[in-house]
Amino acid sequence: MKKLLILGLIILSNLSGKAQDIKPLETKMNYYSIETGLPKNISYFKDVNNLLDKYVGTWKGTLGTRIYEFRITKYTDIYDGLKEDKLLIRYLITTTSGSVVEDTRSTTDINCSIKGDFFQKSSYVLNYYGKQTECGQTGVVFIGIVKNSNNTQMKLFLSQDQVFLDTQTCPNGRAPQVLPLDQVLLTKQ
Amino acid sequence: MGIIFFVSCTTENLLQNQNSQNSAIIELSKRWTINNSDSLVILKGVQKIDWDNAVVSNTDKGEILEVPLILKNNLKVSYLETNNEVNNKLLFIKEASGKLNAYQMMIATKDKISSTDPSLSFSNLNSSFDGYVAFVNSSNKTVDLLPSVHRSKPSLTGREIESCTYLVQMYDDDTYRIISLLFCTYGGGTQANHGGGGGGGGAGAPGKANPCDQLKAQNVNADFKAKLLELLKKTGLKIETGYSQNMDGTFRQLTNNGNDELNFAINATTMGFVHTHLDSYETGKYNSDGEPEIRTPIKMFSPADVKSFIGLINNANRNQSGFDPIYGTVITSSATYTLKFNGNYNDINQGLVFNDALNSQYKNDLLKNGLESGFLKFLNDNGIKGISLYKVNTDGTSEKKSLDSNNNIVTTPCN
Repeated sequence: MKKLLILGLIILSNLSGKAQDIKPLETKMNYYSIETGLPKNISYFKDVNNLLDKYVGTWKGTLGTRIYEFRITKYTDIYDGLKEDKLLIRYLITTTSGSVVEDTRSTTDINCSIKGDFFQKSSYVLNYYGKQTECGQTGVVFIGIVKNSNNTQMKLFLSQDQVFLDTQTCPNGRAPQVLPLDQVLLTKQ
Repeated sequence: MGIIFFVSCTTENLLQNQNSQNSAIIELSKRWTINNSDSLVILKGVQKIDWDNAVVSNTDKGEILEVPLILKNNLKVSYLETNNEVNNKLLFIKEASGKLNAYQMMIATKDKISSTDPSLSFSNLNSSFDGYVAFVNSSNKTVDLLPSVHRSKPSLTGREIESCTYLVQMYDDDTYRIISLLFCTYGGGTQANHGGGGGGGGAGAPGKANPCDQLKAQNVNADFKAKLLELLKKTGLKIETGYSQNMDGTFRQLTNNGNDELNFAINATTMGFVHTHLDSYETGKYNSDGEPEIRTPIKMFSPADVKSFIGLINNANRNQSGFDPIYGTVITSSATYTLKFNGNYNDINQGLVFNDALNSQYKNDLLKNGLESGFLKFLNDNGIKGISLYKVNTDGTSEKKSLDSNNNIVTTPCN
């Protein structure tokens, strides 16, 4: 009887283990097009192949009159029971004459304005919601390591969202973007 | 014979007196019509005010003058149930004080009855009347001049009493174009109106019309269909396109200044919007392998779309123009969706900030639960109540999308 109970517990334990499915982060994009949403058993999009690690660190570059410093960290997010490894990007943007455009380096993880989403081919795509999200400071940030750079160079740009702007909320139209709309070449520090 | 002659003479004298009185109210009413031609929306569509068939009567409300209206060619006053026969009249009531009040009188019946038929006269309408009657005053507000008349018969008006009535232009293929919104009505017969546009209802009053009926009417409207077809061809562009629609049915193209922004300006007469969400498109940038970086927009209302829709609800509440006509539509190459409001205004979560956290939540909800279910969960979780999601099919039919207690999608076709 005792043996049966132990056997039962082992079976239950195995079933429970199978019910929680961990998927490699690079497969996440495939699930966006599912009409019924994620299969209920997926509990974690995990960076099992350590694809995010090469991005972690401080990156600097200049484009036009702006100097960009991006600080990239890796963390595990959880939403409604679903865990996900992702990158967070904080930044200091200054002009070449030294004035600060925006500095988000001290924001908390939860309030970080650039949070990772999914891999798309060789790039990693992150969601961006700026201070003026309601007036169009939104989009996705594409980052990709430059080939043959030994992970020391990266390109980054913001693809701003198509936005439907209520002119009562945003009488001046879309807020100017602080992130680069053209690809900026960054060097790892 | 003599007796007959005597009676006839007496009748003649009476008629002379009556004719003299009648001509007084008719002349007074004619002058009112000349000086106030813009006061009643229905007059925009009138070819002839049939003064020759005007009828005068005396009631406890005062002296009454009813004048049949003949609408211009191809124009009609339309319910959602277009089988109803509608007679339109001008109604003048001259109070004892001499004050003259003017109204549009609309009488809908199942069978065709001449507008000069005595059974449709103001003084003969009573509780046995099998039809629907509405009065709109010169401020374009609906008023209840005949509270004793049954305003709704299940066989005839169970639905249209909770709907809007329009002046429409009919086309040969039975489609139509809205010329003007005349008035909206609510269950129980209390109504509010909108000068030359707008819907019914007041502050805090819930929308009452059946959204399915309204979508049905919208989807056979020639102008709206043309806009849908046009926008369906534009989901492959790199910028969104769309229109706002006014209460009078006219459309205004939304401006896109090339900065990936579609500007939606709400004013007192704005009724709704329809715009595209794009197919996947190239950003113009390339990844490290030289492949184009692709954007894949979400083929569902965005949080910003919901915010704009709430803006329409607030606008209607501010202008007392009613919630029923309000809509927001998004057109994608996969599906067309429409938002309608039929909740209580006071339940709208006005404190909601459409910030980064809310937008993150939106994307997570859609990933986890799917497009429709995730969107509805997003509304529920943020206390956005009273807003319903409808999927509009290519054949013009619609279906309501809602969630069951387990957050599973429930599809209810509009019959």
